[in-house]
Amino acid sequence: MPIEYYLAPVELITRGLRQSTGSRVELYRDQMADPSLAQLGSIIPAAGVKAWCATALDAPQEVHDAASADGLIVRVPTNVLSRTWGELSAAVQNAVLNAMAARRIPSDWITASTTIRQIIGYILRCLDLTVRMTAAGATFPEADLTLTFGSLPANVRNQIRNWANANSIPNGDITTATALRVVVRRLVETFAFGELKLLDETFSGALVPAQQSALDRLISQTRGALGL
Amino acid sequence: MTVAYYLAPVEQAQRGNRRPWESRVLGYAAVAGAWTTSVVPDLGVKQWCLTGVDAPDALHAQIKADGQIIELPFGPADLDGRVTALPVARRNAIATALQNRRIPTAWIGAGTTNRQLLKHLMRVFYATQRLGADFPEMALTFTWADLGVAQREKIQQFLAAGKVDVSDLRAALTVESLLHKLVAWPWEFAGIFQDDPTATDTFDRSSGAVGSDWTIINGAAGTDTGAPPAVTNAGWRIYSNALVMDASARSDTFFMRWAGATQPGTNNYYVEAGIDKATDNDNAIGVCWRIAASGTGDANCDGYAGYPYSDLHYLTRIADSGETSLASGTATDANAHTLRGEGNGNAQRLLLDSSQILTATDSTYASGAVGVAIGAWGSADGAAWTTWTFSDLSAAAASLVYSPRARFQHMIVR
Repeated sequence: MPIEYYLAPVELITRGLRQSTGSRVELYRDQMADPSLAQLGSIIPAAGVKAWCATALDAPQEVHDAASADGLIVRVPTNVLSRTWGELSAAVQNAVLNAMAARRIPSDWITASTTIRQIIGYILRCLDLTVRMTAAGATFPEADLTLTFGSLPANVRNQIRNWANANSIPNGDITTATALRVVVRRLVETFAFGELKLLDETFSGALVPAQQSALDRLISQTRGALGL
Repeated sequence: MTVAYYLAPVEQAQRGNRRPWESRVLGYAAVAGAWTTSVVPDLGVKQWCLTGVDAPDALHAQIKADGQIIELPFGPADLDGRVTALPVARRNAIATALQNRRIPTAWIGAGTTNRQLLKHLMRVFYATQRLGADFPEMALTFTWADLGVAQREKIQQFLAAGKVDVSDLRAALTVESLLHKLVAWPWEFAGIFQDDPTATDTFDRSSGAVGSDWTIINGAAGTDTGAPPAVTNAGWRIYSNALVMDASARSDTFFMRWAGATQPGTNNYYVEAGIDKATDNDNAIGVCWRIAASGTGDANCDGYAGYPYSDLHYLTRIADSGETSLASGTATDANAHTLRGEGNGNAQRLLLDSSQILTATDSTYASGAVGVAIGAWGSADGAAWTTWTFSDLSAAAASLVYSPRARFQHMIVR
């Protein structure tokens, strides 16, 4: 059975009398005549931060087809994790970029040689970051990435700086004019996450993000300040 | 012959043409036909070691009289005894000796056993062997920021390779806290140190209250004594030498916390239960780990849980008794099984009869207590927990025998 990767809403799922919070993909697994034929794993963000999760599903093709047809669920365009960004068609690239933008995941670090594994790994880091920051009492900067750091309330900015300082993440160059995209990237790309796995597949390898030059950073900050 | 443990300097001996580095204890034992075995740290890091000696009492008397050797006042038969049960003067002497040797002691609590103490020492030694010159051999009050960049990188890589959480490696982290992380590395042990003090409950006792080793977090104590499930108040209770709990008309997840004296020695451990699922395969009885270490009520029903329901096994994250599904799969049945939940860093696992069935990555709960769990609407048919145990993961697979690399100094001398 193929494994496919999804971005899916986190929902209250009812099974008989029981209710639990989980990935919307579970609904399609549950419709199988024998759900035990499938294996499902999700990385679920801290409650109340992001309303979607990343899910890996090992199930028959028809289940993947049904889940993929759900307009609320986005299937990662390929399960070949070594495939590079440059190997995807422009249309598929745009679909991925739109899906990431809609979920406030930075994508400006992706280059032609970035692999699908690295992109999924980046998304998993974002989700895990929401959990770690929440557990430490800090607020994850969940907002439009084109907004500036200054758009966050002062206490939230302080929480983020304190959390970054506590985790040796440089932030002295972050100002109120810095775009949230830059802030989220800094947190995601600098924090030591350890191992990240979905259904025994490891996504914790190097991200190899695109280098951000001082000029890039300035442009980003300017865009942020202009609300672009 | 009596076995005793010593902290002793590592010295260069002269044996014929050979000049081995060895425990000072061997200067006595090697000539007396005694068995000895030592765990010796990397010699460039610490200049003393831990040595076990099986020798006549007269030889022990000679060793104890050596002012440079410190006797640990317990033998193999006392390994499960509490450190706090040792005579105060001896206990204080050990604490002072360890602190002078830059071994943390603040972690030793009322429930700490002599075995845990020895294994703690061995783990620190093993870390010196693995890290060599990069081991943080400095005053325990120094911080992460006091280490060199290359040294920090080496340590971080080493910890990450052992799946030890490195997310809090920050400037202010003390060397003492860092050593605790090195101790938490999944070291493998064998022989008499293979098993950490684990707590076990077989529930073999009179029907009624669950007993003083358990704290009901939520779900209340059962007051009926009849056979489950046909009872009125069916909370947590012992029935027929098993633990039962009927949650079949309730929509919350319920936890019961192990409150026995022996608690997990690290944040990475497994908790395992024998579950007899009676006639149903959906009874949601299982185990929980990294749960709230204090407090009761739904608001303190937090942690990870694993159990079978709706024909599948679920690995869940529980907050305020509400359930979030992290992973699911593998068919359930109505047979008796052993269910094991395991937390190791941010990796959570569920094993059925020793086979891994579910894994998940989640960082919400980094530490906590252990217990049993039952999901909402669970156990309508009288399913029961027949056994329960936990153990530190680092103990799963210590002896004074371990050889991770050539620099390791392990000596057995007759």
